[in-house]
Amino acid sequence: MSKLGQAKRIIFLKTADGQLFEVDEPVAMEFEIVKSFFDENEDAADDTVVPLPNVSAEPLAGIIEFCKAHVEFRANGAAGKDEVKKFNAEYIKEKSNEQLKELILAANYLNIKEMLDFLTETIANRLKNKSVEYVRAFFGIENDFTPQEEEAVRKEYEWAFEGVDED
Amino acid sequence: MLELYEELVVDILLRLPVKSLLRFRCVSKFWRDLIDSKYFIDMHRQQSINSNTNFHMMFQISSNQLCSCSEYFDNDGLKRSLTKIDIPMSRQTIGSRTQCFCTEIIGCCNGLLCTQFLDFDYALWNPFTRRYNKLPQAPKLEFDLLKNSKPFEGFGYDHVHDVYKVLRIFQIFYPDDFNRKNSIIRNQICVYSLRLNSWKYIEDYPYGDHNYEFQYNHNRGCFVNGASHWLAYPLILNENGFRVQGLEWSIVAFNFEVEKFSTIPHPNANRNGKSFQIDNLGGFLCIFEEVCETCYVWVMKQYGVGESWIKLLSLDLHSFKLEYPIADPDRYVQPVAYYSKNGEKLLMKTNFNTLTWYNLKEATSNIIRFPIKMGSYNAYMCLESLVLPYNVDDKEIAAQIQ
Repeated sequence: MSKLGQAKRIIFLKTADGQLFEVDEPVAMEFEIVKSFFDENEDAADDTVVPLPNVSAEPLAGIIEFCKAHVEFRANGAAGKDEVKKFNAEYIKEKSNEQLKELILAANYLNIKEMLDFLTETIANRLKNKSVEYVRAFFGIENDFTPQEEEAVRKEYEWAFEGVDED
Repeated sequence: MLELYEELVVDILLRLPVKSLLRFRCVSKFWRDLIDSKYFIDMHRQQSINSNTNFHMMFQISSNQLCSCSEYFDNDGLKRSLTKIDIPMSRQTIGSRTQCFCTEIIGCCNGLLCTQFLDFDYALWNPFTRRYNKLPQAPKLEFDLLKNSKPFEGFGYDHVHDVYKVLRIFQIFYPDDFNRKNSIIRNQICVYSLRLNSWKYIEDYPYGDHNYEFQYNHNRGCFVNGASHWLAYPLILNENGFRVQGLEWSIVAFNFEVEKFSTIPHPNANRNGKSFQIDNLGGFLCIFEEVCETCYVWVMKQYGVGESWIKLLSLDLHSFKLEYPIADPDRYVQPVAYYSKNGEKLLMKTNFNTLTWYNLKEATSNIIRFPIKMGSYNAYMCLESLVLPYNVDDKEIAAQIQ
């Protein structure tokens, strides 16, 4: 760990697809998995490369972007303010469902609580007004009801099927 | 196509509103069993409480309708989120005719409303799943005189045993001496448990006069911290050895876990004003009084600790925009919600269709015209949940997914 007065420390992360990332220490320490790597290897050299065999370059780049912005928000005392909400809304706006799933799997593996919460909430918001078919496709779930069974389950809360968005 | 771990899928589901979850029961058999399980229902309730989401303001607007809106609203938000909900118990089909009955709301807890309809029939109702359960008939009254008196009720949750309970107190001043301060009091007290699905009698109640002088409480206890609360006078023995009502008022609590009554310390409030009532404001026990055209709101910051009562607000009604002239005997002001997510705000209901958000820090108010006439019914802060109004044991499913 860097000591006060020392130059800004850089952490090296290597993804499953072999890309090397150089990340500022405070941002990398947002990842619980990286933090515990250094906690367990206290004498690790400064240029140690932390392997991340379950994350590929694309989601990692997205995660670094998110964490970097949030570390800065916290440093500026902007946490919880409109600025953060605006950034978060912009951040997910252009993300496809597949990209969101990649990000949540990566955030889960890296164990970044704040981002995991945000992505969970985002996916829930994206799904809440959707149809049953859309949700099955999103999660890759096979329908194991017979048409008669499904009709019967649907009848139990027929009103919950009103006002659903187009897929 | 990426698949998410089950744990992540469950976390996403826990953040969905009730209507979406009821629709997604159709996704697969596993999803149906998961969403129906007590494990999931409890986790969903806890997630909503922890993240302070899924709360709604519920206003009764007629004897058979409620309307709900999102918990913190302005004029625009109110229009967007306002939904009318029919109270299903109000409509009863007798023979070939459907009749409408007046339903009263006794209380609200974890998304369940306890209602009273017809004579003394009770039901638990979840307005978000639209499921309700008529409770078995309460025990018959012991003595004829009770027939003309109105019961006092409280609804609450015993979190230790995970049981919803209803308290019913019948009290009679006997013989029918109009000067109640000298009369003998008899009670019939029973408690319903959803787990046992039955009523039972409990210990005697050493207090008097809950439903005469404190009429603004609508004969309902307010649920805070595992207990129902109301205002009453402890009984004392008179010179003839009879129990009569004392002169000092108290806050009485009925603890739903141990099923015992106790007295809670009260603030130094003046209960001789125009109105005086006890309520749940954002989870705190609150006393509201109006004396000499000034409103005082007291809040017990630490439950059960007398020294923790603070005066949250003193509001001179002359500085407050009222719909009715200040001297009008029908005019009233009543706090209905306490919201402290973004600065401390208090929602006040003034007469029939005006609500006011009062900002405690800035001492400013934001008036909201309620588009529907609310009458003098109470308002409730209600959690949107999947909680069942009946008792289902599904330990098998819980074990399977844990």
